Amino acid sequence: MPLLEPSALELKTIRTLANFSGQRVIEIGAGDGRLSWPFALEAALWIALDPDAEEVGAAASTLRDQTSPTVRLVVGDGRTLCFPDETFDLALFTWSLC
Amino acid sequence: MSSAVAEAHRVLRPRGQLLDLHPTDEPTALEVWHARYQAQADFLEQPENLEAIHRAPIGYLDHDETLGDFTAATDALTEALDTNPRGFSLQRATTFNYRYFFDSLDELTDYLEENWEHATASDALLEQALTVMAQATTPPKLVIVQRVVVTALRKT
Repeated sequence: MPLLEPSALELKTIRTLANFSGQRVIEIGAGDGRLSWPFALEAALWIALDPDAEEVGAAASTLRDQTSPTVRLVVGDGRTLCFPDETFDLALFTWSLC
Repeated sequence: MSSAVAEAHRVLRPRGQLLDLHPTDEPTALEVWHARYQAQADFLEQPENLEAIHRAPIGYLDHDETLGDFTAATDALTEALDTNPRGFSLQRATTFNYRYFFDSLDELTDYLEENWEHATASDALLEQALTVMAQATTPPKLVIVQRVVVTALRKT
């Protein structure tokens, strides 16, 4: 199988631009959670959103071993978010703004 | 402002941050990597250790016109920066290479067929890769290298 895990370089690059610790984060286009899990447990709240229910299911399978009340998986569209104004400290688009 | 960026703006607190990752519209490269020494069989765990890895550039994948779709993300961010006073300001942008590793040509082509609608590997490119793989002195990997831009914006 191809190696598709996030590389150390990718994670390091993201960390140079953002600090997720204690933040309320919404990840838009989370897919199978590939980029969620390296950071999600640091956050005060991490909403992993994706329009594809199968991808969210895959993310849930991955998360099973590290369940946290601060991490939530949501099927939804980034263009119509069901959250109140000014809910989050950080919005993360992971290859989803194309 | 695009609807997704506008929604992000709405749900972000004042001075909140938007972080975006997306591929650039640069062509995707194909390389063959192998460890310089047999003892470095774990070279994929240290992909930045250039001393341990021999990297042979092979060429580029063939892209269709949808490669340009990646510029839509860049355009959406640029538009967000132009939307003042209730838009975003640029904090910083940088790029890195995202890499996909494969053990064989079949694995590579199967992956492209199943997952990449916008790119194919030509027969000539694959033949060249096969030649270089055969010359490798340690077990080689096929590597797709895709340039990714990461941009951080601050809500204004």
